[in-house]
Amino acid sequence: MTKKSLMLLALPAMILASCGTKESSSPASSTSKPNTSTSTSEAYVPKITTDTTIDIWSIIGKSNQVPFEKYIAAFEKLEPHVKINSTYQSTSYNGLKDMVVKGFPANNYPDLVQCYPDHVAEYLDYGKVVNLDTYINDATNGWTAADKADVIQAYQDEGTGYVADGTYSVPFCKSTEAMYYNADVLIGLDLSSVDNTINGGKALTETYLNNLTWEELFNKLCPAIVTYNNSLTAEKKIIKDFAPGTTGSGVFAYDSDDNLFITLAEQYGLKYTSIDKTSGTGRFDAFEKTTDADKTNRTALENVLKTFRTAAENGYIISKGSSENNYTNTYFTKQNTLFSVGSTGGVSYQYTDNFATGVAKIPHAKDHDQAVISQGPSLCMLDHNDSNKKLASWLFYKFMTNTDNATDWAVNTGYSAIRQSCYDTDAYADYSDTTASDKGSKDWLMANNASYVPKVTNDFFLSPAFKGSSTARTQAAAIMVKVLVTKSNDITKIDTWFDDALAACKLAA
Amino acid sequence: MANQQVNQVKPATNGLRAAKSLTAANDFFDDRPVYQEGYDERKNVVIRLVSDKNKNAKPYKVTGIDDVASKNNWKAWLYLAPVLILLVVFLLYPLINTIFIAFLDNYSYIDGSFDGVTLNNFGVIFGLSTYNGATEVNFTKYAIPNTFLIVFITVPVSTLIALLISVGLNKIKFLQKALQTIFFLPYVTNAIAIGMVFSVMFDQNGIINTLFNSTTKWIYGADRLHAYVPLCLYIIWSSLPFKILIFLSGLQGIDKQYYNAAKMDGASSNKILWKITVPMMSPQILYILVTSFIGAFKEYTSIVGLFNMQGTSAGSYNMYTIVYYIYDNLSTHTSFAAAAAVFLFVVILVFTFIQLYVSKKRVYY
Amino acid sequence: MEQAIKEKRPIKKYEDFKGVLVNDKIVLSLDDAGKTVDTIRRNDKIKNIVSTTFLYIILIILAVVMIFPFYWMIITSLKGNDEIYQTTQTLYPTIIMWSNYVYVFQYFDFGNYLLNTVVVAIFSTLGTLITTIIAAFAFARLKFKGRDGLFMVFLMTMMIPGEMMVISNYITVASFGWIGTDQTRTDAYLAMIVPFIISVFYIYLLRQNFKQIPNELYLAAKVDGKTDWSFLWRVMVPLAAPTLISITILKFMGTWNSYVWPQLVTSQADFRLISNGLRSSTFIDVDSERVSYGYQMAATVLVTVPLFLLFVIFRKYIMRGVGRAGIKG
Repeated sequence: MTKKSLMLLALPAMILASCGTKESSSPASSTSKPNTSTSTSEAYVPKITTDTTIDIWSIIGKSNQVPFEKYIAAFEKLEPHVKINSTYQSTSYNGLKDMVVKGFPANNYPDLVQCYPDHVAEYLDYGKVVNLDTYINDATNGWTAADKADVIQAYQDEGTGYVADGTYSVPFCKSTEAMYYNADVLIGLDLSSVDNTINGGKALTETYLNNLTWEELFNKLCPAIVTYNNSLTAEKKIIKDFAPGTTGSGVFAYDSDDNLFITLAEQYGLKYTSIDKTSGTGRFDAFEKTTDADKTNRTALENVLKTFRTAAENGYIISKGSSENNYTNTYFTKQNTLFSVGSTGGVSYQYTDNFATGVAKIPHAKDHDQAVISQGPSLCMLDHNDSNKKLASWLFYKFMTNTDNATDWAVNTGYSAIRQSCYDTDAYADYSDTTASDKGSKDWLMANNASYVPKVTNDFFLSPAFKGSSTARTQAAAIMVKVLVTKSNDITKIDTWFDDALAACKLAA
Repeated sequence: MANQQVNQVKPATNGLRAAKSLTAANDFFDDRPVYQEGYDERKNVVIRLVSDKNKNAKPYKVTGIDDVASKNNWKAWLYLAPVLILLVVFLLYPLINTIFIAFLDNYSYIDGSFDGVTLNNFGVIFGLSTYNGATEVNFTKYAIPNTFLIVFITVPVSTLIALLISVGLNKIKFLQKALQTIFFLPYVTNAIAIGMVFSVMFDQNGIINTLFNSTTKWIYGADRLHAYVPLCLYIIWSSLPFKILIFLSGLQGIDKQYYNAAKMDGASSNKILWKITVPMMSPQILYILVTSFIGAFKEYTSIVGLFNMQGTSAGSYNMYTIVYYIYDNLSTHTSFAAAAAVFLFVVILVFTFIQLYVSKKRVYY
Repeated sequence: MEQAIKEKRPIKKYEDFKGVLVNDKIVLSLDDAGKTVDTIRRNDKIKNIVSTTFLYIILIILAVVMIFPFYWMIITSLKGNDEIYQTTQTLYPTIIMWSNYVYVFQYFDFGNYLLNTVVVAIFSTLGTLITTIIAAFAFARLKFKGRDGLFMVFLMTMMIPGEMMVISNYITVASFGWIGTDQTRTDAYLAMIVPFIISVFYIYLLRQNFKQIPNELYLAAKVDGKTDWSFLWRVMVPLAAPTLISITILKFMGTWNSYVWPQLVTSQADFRLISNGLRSSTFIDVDSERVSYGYQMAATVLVTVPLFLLFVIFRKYIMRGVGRAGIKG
């Protein structure tokens, strides 16, 4: 078997991080026993006294099912009266949502379900979601003040970002975005011959890359790189086959079009969507033009997008949508681009044998704070009018997300840990130890990725979810793609694009 | 014909190979007495032989036999009873339910609640009235035209191609079995595989562009005209096997006598095709046409398989079809989906009626 | 023909269906002048060879077109994922990855899915065959009031898209108690089989075939005093056997490829069918929605092979055609 096929066999286990593949002799974290309590080690008193069964529906993949089943088994030991049926549906997230919604009238839906906020908004519309505030704030069974301070704030905010007051979802498989870059080429790249204002005339460093702004990127760095690249001979080119306008050829790649649109809006202090809690409806602020504030917002957004269009025309930026819908990491790993922004959960796709991949924060807007999107499915509780089931479901979630289990989950699946304290544990320290493996190896990349996540937890932002917000996301992607592929004279159509997006969103609401 | 005795009609020996079915039929008639056309005194019936070639002749009333046949009236319902029960529960009830929902405002199938009876659902989908301040344009602009185009391009073309292929397959001897099997392959190939293959073949750097030395975009980022090419090819390709199967089956059943006679008289193969083969196969052709039209109007999976979204680029709806619209709105706006379904139903019903009416004089059993 | 005239045999007249005599006129054309029988025969032979070759060429080209996606499916199952995701596609894998099949055997729960699919397919097919035969018989052969109207109603049920049926049928099936977290295997099977037993598509097909069975046969049987039931099962069914075999295979394949409904009505992955397994997270990365095509195609090929063999075995029975028997003695 060739090396490639060996790697492919390891594909399902690719998210598995350090365990088993490290050369060093640190204990494999996947076999650590989950603790039954967070801080004090008192004996656990079962809270459920009658036999209760709860159903969990998810689409967790085979490799991630392993730690999940572990928590289930441990919890069932603690609560002997509780039986958990975990069903792994073989469909997409949208398919799962479809199954749940179709199951409502037939009373065939679970107690806990893996869901995106948009899905929760739809379940909420049908009145089937349990408000978790009662459980979170419960004196005996809820989260203590310490817990609430520990769980990353942005994730808690997402749980309350719905049309009704209360908490309707809790974090589960979170991830964020990072800028992966070609470390071999960029670290130590001296562009002072082309432009000596870059990094003060010194070679590029990690710090510089971690503090990029879009303006710096498009106005200085990319032009310099392109000029520099053009001056090199064919074998020495740092970007292979660079030709602006060719599919997949660019300096900077941002994979997800919708994330880019939404992140830009947040970074530049502009509005994307919002919820009016009094009327219980959502609003598509980015596309609206009814009030003056709307018009200013939209014009500002359009101007930002226009700068991206210019950048795209010069070959500085590509996205999945502007590359024939191909994942941009395929171009990154072939060195057709030098940067690739993608999900931290999918970091393994950014790995290649050919060069070392570095991890940095995504660029932010000049004179504005950093803002990075937080994404990934959460868990929500559906109502069966059975208090035992609800309590049992809540207790399982609480157990599953105590510090040890949450760290175990993050380390084994590659999702972000949901508690601040997780990042301080030994297990996580091992997981993010970049010195333990060779530079440029896959483990090194994984470790870098792991140590990157806690650095951005304070920069997370979230968009509210309501009926029609998923359409808003699709339309955002559509506009972004159009912006990136359009030629200069057609950009005036951007107004109509926004109008069309608004119409589509309103119809879906 | 009048003086011919029934027992002189022999089964064509080269048309149907000694089929077991023939033996069974013959066994059935083993103890049959000889019949002569005319008045049979013993059984007090008049026996007339009705030839199915005399289409223009007035139907003979075979007294005695006709009466017996018509007495089976109520027994037919016995035969249909189990079928009817299942049909009503699983096919008719959803149909009627859908028609009802189309006239209900804001129907939610979770609890069956609705705001009242209205015609507005149809207004919304046709863009005549607004919903939430916005007008639905994609249904009339894209879904309806696309659906009609798909139907009127793919069904006639695929039926004709299938007919010609079947006739051709029937004629050749050498590779017949292998080719028959190959032409059935698309039916056996999994839908996921097919979708993937077509999107790869028509990729900008795919085989098709390499063969024809072009860089046209066929799928992602394509304009509607170009996108129709892979779409129609996909639909035709996947619908051919079933048609070929049915046509071949029908072809095998045509008595070789007719062909021999025509050949003896020097009729050209063209004439043979259109004057003998097609009429003899008219029941199958009608069946294929009716069912293919119905199926093509409901086209949706091919769009998803090829484009994975409603259009050739993100946010575009230019490859929308009626059923795709229904699918999109099924859980969130069930009333609109039902209205679209009722519209589709009426369209298909009208077309089917037209087809059946036109075919009455042209189909020979 | 000249021979017939010479021997004073009556010339058979052949009419087409518009009542026009095909061989009405004996035409002596200049084309045939100056040619001997041999020349004409040789010309015909050449014409025959040319047209047959032409036919073969066209059929083979079309066959290549038909077989290409199938071929693609097989070579994709033998390629590594990297090669599949390349921008320029290769017509033949650079490295043949039998490991794809190894992986599939390891991780894909074949036995279970196969069992479910076969059981559901067999019972669905049996149910459909029986109901189709009796319904087609009633529509084709028996006369009763409202026959055409009722048939129109049957056809109408085909004119609604499947998605709309799904919601109603789901609630119906749930009300029978076949759905829910306490679903047993039998419940799951029932839920997957029963709603689809009636297929108007096949009833219509069989009705067309039944109608082609000559009237004489039926009238003769009636005169003999044979019942409809025995006529149906002892004459019509054997005569329409090829169509019935086609229906069997098609229905079987339909179950094989069905995906949406089994996904919906089964509460455990254990009860699902093969198509569900193929789209499961074994082959798809749920978060990025990237498909491991190599594995998925390998599993698809493995799943397609039995279907293909089924067709190959039954091909000659299908292609035999509906019998238009004459009546013996």
